[in-house]
Amino acid sequence: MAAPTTTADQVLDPHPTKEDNYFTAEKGVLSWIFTLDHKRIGVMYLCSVMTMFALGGLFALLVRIEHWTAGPTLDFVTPDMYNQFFTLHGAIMVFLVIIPGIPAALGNFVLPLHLGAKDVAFPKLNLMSYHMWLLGAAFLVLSMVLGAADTGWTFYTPYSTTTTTAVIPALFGAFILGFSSIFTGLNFMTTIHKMRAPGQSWFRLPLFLWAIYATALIQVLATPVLGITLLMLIVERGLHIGIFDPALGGDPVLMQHFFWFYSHPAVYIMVVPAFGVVSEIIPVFSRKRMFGYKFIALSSVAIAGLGFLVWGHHMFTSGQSVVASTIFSSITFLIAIPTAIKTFNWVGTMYKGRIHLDTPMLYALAFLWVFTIGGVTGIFLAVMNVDIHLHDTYFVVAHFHYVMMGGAITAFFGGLHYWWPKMFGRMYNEKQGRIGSIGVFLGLNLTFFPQFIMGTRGMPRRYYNYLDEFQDLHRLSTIGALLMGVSFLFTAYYLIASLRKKHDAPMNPWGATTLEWTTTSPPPYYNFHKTPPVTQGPYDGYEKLWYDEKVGGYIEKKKD
Amino acid sequence: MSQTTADAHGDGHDDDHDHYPVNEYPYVAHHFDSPEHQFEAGKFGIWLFLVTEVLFFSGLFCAYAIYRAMRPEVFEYAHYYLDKNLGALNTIVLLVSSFTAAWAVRAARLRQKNLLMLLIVITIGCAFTFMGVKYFEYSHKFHDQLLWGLNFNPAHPAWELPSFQAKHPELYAKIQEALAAGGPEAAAKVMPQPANTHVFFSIYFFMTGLHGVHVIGGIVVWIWMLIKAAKNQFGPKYFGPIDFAALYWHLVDLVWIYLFPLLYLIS
Amino acid sequence: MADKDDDTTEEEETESSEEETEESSSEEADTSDDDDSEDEGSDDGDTQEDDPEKEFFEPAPAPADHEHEHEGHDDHDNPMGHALPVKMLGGVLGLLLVLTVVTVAVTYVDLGVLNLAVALLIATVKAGLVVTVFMHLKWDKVLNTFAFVSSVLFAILFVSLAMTDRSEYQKDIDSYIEDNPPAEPAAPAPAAASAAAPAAPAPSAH
Repeated sequence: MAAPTTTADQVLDPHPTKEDNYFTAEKGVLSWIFTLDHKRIGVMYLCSVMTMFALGGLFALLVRIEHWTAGPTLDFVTPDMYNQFFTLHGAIMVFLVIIPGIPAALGNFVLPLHLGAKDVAFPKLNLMSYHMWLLGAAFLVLSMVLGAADTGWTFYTPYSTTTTTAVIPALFGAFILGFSSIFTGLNFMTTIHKMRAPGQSWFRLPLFLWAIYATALIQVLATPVLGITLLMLIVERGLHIGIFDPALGGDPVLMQHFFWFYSHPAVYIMVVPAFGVVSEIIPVFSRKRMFGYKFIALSSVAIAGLGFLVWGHHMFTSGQSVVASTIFSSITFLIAIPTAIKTFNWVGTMYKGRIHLDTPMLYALAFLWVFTIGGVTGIFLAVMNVDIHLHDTYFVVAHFHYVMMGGAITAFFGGLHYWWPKMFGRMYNEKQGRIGSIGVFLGLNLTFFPQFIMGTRGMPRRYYNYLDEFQDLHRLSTIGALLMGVSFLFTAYYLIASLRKKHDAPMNPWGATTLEWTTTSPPPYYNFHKTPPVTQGPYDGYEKLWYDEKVGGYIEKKKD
Repeated sequence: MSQTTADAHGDGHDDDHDHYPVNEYPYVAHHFDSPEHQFEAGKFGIWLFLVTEVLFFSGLFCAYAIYRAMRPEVFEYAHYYLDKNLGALNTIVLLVSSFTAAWAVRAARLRQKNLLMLLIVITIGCAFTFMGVKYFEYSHKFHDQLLWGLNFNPAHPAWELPSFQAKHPELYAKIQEALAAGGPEAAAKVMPQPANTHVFFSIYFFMTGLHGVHVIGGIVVWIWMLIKAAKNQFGPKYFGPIDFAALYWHLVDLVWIYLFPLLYLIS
Repeated sequence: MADKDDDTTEEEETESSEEETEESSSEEADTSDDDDSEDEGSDDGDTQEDDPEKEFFEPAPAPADHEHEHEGHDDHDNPMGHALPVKMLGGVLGLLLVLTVVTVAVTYVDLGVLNLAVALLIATVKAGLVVTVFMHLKWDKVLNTFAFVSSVLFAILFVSLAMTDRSEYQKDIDSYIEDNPPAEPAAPAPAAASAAAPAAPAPSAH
């Protein structure tokens, strides 16, 4: 990619006209709500996703605090409410935060910039998918008001067709969110296929885009099945058609097949974009070319493909046949290969690099540590007989959160800090950023590591009360959750505080060589004044960039 | 791929400043380079959409396949309640509309405005015919309580249906003997209604209902296309919307091509 | 492929007279038909020369692949494809209608299990015709074909794995039903079901 060719003076004053900043290009609330600009849509996604993250986090904290003692702890949390809290926590975090988090919020902002394009292929569809996200979120919130669903985010029959809580609004909300996700994936896939800058071959794409592409593949191929599953569940619950309801001759295990055909690939919708973010951060902050670029790129696609063949490993105890369980279990082991390839290459990239421990890099390192634990415990669970023992225990909860929270959310925050200067044109306080990231990392491990131990000792998930012997470990976990909560609040504080400063972000604060850093921070309405030609790989040319004190960022080295 | 500048879109720009790169076609969105670029992106997008549609329907086909394979007697018993001829009629109606839709693409790119509008009107007409026949079939089933789940309470057992009598005269003779000897109970012993027969109607209504929703969606799209065609917007360089609408419409037809034998032509 | 296209272009020329039913657009239709028969890749040339609505569609620049003009009929030359002749579309419609009649007729012959196979085979042939000709996939980018085929493959993957599993545990369901027979074995299912599902409120019939 062309390294920035701007002089220091230009970088210091990057906003000569108001069109040069997508924030000021148009004014008024309506110009945001009906914008077709992918950057604004990305920012709106970001704000909405963060709001939902706070809400989902609040439910998580309530669940954790309830576990402070073995019996009832909080006066106002009844067992039924406890069920609703973990359902809402799960549904919000999965459907409203993690799935749209990296692809829709960060991806929307970064993807066209990475391609040197002016926008995504279908801007109106992009806006529609955001509006559908809002509508879906509204339905989920509505279900909270109407007596929140208590089925868990998996909506298993026959409980979901017989419980008296408001399951249909929650199902309908998830249905709409599914279509929002499909349209985002469809849009991104088309964009990557058709909107690449001249010279940008597939193997010159930043790895973030490979990850987004693999994610979009899953979104397009798997999410429709979720759509029909939820629709069938809504109809089953509303009209009792007897496809999933055993009392009417239906098959509840079939429902689980339907659900996991989507939802196992969906965990890759959640985590593959995280791989992409980490792949962007690590070479930049190691000042070193990506090690094994093609392997990382293709392993994303391999994960997406293999992810379709393993859904039955969620159903080892459901009544699924032994034949199917065996097939699913063995394929599950294969997933470890592309994932390990990635981890190996990230570590290989850092080896002998000049590592800068800035906030995004700290998040990426946290990701490596935490995700490896999460991934390896996933292999434990893929072993059928081990899974029979660990199924529905806190071990599964811990595994899932190490991957989702430690993987997807950590990478999301890494990416947020990495692209924050580009999105908003402001640098956050670096020192506070480092403190926040360390707080998140410690809180995360403190919360979920004790849960592994509890799980192996037989603490079942989704229980309101528990045996006294687990109390110490539960308390450790709760303390960790509170620490994490405080760290996230602190992060929100310094990020918002940075917005109150005046523009101070240079074009290229980290010395990256992907295309988004060749335009101003924040970018102009049309992203680039000229479609940037691509002449080198996305992680080449770090040696040409030098840090300039006066600019506060990196500029191209002068030939003198 | 690099862009030339265009003054048409330069309103509001400082004159001393670089113009934003905008292509020079009024009907091509600003972020595309050329009509071909826009068309190719749209085409790939609509194919991806069709991919999602195929997978969306696959859930119902999965349910169908499983119940058909595991409970064949239900499908054998229940299919007599469906009218083959109406199903065939609807198949023909949809095939004709698919033909007119494909022709409409040709008319759009050859800028045959009136022909294009005529073809769209025929397509819409076929869609309404299809829905009319569906309405007739549905109301008949509601009347005879051939419905899903607990609402399944057929007014007539299968042996009273002409389609059954024509197909299995020997069995029907036996049933008549039983009827004469022991009344309906005895007849039901000769040809019992299998357990969970209602699941067939659940699947029937779900599949055809979802397909019907897609037909209605298609009608909306075609009306929109008719308006665009009336404004004479289409030509050799801009006919994407018609092409994409037609692709969607063909997919609706494709689904029906499978639904027809799977639901109506069971033996 | 080239032979076929030559045929079709001849057909087009004969048809253009039929298509002159519209007063306003017949002329354009005619000219563009002729041009189309010369080369599918030269649409823009036509519009520049004799298009009354030039201002809307102008300016049309020369596409990059203009040099391929008159070099046979490689369908990938024009990224926007080419107009299919009406005769071809009509022929496909005829075939589809014939197949529909055949598939209905076959149901009157008892072939046992083969009936389903034949019905699905005919449906697949029909679907193939619609996809390749009506949906233009035969002349389209390979990428689009790939997308569509992969959707079918994934649907098959989904259905077949779910079915494999269900057929494996079907015997468990059967043995359970055998061990716990419903109150009246011959009674219609809803009666048994309503007893088994007291929590399920019966929706209104209409």
